[in-house]
Amino acid sequence: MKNLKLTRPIALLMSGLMLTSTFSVINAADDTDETSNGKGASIVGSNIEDVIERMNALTYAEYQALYTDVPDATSAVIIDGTDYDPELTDADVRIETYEGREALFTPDDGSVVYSFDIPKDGMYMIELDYYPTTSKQTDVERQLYIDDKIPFRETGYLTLKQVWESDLSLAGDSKTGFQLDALDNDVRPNTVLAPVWQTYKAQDSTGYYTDPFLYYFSEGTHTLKLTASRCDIAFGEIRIQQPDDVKTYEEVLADYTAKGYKAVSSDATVKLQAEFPTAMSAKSIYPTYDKTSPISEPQHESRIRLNTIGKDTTWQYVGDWVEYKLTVEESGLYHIVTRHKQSVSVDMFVTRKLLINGELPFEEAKNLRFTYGDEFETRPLTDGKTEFQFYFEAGKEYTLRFEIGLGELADLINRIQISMANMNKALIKVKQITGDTPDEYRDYNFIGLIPNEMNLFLAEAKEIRAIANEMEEIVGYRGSQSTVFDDIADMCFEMGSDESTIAGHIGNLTSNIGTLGTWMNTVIVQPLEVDYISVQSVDEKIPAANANLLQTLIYEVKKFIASFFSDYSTFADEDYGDAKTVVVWMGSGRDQATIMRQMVNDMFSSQYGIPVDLKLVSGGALLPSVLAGQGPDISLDGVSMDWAIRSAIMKLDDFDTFDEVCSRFDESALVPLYLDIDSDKRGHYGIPVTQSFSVVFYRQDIFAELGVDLPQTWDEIKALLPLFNSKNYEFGVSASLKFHLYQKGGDWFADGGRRINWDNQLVLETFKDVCDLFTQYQCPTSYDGTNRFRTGEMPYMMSDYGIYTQLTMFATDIRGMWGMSTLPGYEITDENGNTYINNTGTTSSGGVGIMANAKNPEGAWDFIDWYTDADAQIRYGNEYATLLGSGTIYTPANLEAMLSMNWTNEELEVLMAQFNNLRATPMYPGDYIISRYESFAFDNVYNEGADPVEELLKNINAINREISRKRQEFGLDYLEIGETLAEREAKKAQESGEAGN
Amino acid sequence: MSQNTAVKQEESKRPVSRKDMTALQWTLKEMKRNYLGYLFLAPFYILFLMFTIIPVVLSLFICFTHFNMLEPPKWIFLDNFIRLFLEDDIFLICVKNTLIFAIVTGPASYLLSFFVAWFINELPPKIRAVVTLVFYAPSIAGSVYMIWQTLFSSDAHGWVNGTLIKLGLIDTPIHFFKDPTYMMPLCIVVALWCSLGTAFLSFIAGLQTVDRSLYEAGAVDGVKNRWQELWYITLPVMKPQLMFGAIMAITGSFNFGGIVSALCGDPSTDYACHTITHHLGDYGGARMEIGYSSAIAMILFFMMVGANQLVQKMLAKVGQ
Repeated sequence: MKNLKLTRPIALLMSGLMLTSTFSVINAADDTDETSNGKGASIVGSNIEDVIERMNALTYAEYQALYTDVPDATSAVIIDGTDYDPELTDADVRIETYEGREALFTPDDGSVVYSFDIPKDGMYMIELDYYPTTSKQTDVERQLYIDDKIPFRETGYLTLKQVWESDLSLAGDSKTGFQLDALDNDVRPNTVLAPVWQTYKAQDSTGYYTDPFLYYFSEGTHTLKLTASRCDIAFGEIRIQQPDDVKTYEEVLADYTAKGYKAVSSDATVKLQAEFPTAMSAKSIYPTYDKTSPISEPQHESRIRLNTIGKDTTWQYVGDWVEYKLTVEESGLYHIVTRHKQSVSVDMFVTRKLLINGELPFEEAKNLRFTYGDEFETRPLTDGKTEFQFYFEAGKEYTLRFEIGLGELADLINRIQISMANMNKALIKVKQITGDTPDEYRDYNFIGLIPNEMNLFLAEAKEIRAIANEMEEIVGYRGSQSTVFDDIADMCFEMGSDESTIAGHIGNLTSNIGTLGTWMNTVIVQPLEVDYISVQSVDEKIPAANANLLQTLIYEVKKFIASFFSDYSTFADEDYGDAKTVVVWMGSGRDQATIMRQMVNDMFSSQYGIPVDLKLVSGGALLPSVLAGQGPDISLDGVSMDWAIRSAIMKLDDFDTFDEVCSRFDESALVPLYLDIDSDKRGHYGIPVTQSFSVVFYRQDIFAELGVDLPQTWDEIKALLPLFNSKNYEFGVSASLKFHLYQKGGDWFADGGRRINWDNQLVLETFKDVCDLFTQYQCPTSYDGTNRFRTGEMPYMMSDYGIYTQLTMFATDIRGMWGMSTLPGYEITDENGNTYINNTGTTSSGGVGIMANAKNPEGAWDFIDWYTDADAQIRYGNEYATLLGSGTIYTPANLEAMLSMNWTNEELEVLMAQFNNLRATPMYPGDYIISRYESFAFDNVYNEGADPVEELLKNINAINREISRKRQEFGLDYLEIGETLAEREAKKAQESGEAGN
Repeated sequence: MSQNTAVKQEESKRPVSRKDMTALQWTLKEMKRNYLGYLFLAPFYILFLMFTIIPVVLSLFICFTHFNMLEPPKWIFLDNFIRLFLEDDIFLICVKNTLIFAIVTGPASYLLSFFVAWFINELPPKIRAVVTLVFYAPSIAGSVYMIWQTLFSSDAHGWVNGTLIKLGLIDTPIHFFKDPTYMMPLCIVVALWCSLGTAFLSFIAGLQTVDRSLYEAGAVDGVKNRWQELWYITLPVMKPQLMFGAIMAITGSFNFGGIVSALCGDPSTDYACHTITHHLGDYGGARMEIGYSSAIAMILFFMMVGANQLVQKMLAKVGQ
């Protein structure tokens, strides 16, 4: 433990040095460099107090309950953003001017503090003007503290949206308004940042509370602290003011009548095509195309016409919005009719909130409902009961913003969430008593041990029943979820009222809560596809939603006829004259191929003047086609070193720009693509594209509850395991011998890959340590990590860093309660007597190479050069995530691309620290044989309690024999079994000596 | 002279007989005469030749070479076989495992298929259709055997492990598909469960084609009980189906690889369930030694041919 203090600064220094060394590549790392030096120590283990404070913070509902009798404020305090408190502010802020307005620029870390006087006790709303300065492609996140405290938990995650727009500059005067490709198809425009001043009311980013937060301020001086957790941003005015006074629709309507507003005439209709929003809040919202309906506007029987927005799941996350500008020619009352389709969220409705010029026109406008259906629907905006009328004045420009909210479901979802959290907490308590597999017939004395939890079960049973009833009332019928509600309620009731049923119900209740959680995830996403928005007279007939039989018939016949003449290949290439084509194959899926095609057209072919023949092929096609001499120049589905050694892939070292290309990656990424053999085939055969490595994910709340630090070494883990095991918590750790061996500084191979390095003391000891973790300490060997992490059964887990996004997106119930850290390691004493923790991780990378019989190797190399560069990798990663949903992550090997992803600073530090501490094994002939013997040895130790040392030694000859055989096959130098290189040399020397005599 | 010509003319007038021609000429002539039949057969034979005959012949050639798929083969004569029999100790384990699988699952699944088919055949038609589906379902639904993976999962939450822990019989989960003690028996059970496949269907079909009148005739001729009916009437009548079923059972039991790899992993711990098919795949796939793997395939091929001969001999005894 005491070494920790020493090693941290060393580790930090090292990571700092590494960062500076990669400086030439990473422009974006500019400001992360300093922060990693300054703040590093706070990541790991030491911030338990913070965690506890955050966990003990009230929920907003509890906070509201505290202040029910405090009246709403009646006055406002206006603070100029530039008027910050320089003493308390620790962020590197500066005053800048954006669009002629002065504002305070705040970077992506540190806090800015404002001090102000409140004239009178009351509940205040916080509203602020901001200018999104960042170039990162993610939402801005800030934590709000009042008087240095988080008043309630939800205010720790304020999300401020950026502003995006479609880049139509390439469209020119195209007839559709979008750029057209060579085949007359619409090309999806890029979505680009288009920052403008925005107004934001502090509110819940998950949408569980539909109204802006109300904060209690007593009379007197207060501070407001905004701490950055993601992205830089500039603040204009901050207003601490009275809550909005939003009228009900009834009042608004009465007002219309009083003022004598009339319906407008029928030719005043304004139609807004939804695919042309003036702004949107996320990159993932872009124009989409509908081919199903002949009357979608515009439509074409054989060409792609972008005619809708939000198709599939492109516009579905709470808080995301699209904006349209509207000017009408006649003052009066209008209906806003949308032609829309919601075919994703089965049997549920989705909700949109309409803001006109940034304000709710009336209370009900936040509950606009769009019901489920297979077909398009046209309907004036409605909350399910009333079809709303709006008054618009002639000549005035209005901004209509449709924002995703949870509407009437918000409160229920919030209550389910709370209820689930309560039940989970209680279940963890129960499981601590019973263990993983409770015994139904044993008397655990629950009443004596956990009376509170039993009461809680009773309360939750009641709550869940109430929720189920209200849900039914709002949705209108009993949906698929009602059985889950009923089951949970029944079980909770039994568990609360009869302790003997608890043990029997645990498993069932856990899985039911899981089901409920999954259902919740589908409910909080709110997809909606919109074709157009027609602003028309209240007397005007609603346009038809779907084509009639004749229209459909004509459309289908036209489509059929066109199918004989049209080229439907969306991968068609532009014309580049006589330049030699590069043939690229990929097998990963049509969507990825579409992304790739577009990227190649935009970024590669146009710039390098090399046409690319991109083909989508099935996985098994490569080998036969290479055999037949019909293979591509490049296959994007990875390079196999087995192919390389058999001369089917080209060695890349001799290309001019090879070194420059390699400098984009960490050395460890190149190693698996390197053939380390003693012949002219030695060299690199692939350039890395993706790279994966593991980090540690841990539950801060559970570590805090147990009052222990995050373990940094395996010894610490072993010391903690008894405690964790006694509470039925598990550690998910790696059983890989290579991984543990590398941490102890050992080598996997000996004599340049001529034999396995298992016959030495270090390896044997290490293997014993590894086996002990699973036999003696009973770590689980197979498990569903993400799920157990979420339920809290496994508060510590080593896993690929890619599951990070999965946890942020889907494990919303444990948000802010988990962290990411570097791997644990072994304490090593080096020759100078310094001890440090070696937490090396193993890594693997996938690459791209050139086929040996490529017809255009230079063109292919240019392609690889372009494809593995940061620009292409960043774009591919973003489009990939956009396409497959935000829950997926692309793990590029390109350093700059990886760093530019949406990491918070703390996460970036962890990743960099681990990234700089990776080790990969080069490829040697015959190495495939090792893993099987390693697992044989481990299985025998685990199953039969065999001696680890013996099991490992037993298999050495079999491995070495295979290695030698393979080396012989490839005409390489090889060793006899049981011989080492040194021994052989000695023998040779002796023989030659004898011969000399 | 003229007489000579006359004789010749006489001869040419005679109908051409088999004796006047070589075998080849005769064949060609007959083929010409029956060209329509050949035309109809052609599509199948061309495909059969290209995708079955040629590969088999090629593999016969390749098994005497060193070939890695990507570079041209090298002729090494019998080296592959020498290595296979004298050096490769894993191959011997494979032969042992394959024989165990074949001997246990082959006859067992064959008899099981037959008796289940026989019993089902006795049911009323509507119920029969349903029961047939129930028994046939495991083999239609692709990798349905994965259910066993779930049942015997090594996770402490797995069904069997969970139950055993709950009953207090064990305290750490057993790795059923990683522990040689359990692997082989489990795989055999799964194999039997999945084995009611095509053979079973053909048995049902065969049983239904038996002419009722034969049973009546049998009764007149002195058949005393159902067993005699089965042995002297039913089985001889459905010999073609029995043959078909036997061939399916043999190929099935020798090729029993996919299920093992899916359940125990490939290779299985200590090669405890490694069969010849796995060995073949191992060399053909991971190690890219197609020549060697062809040699293994040859051995497997001859083993199957041998088993086939044996079964044919045995089936000839049916009804005697």
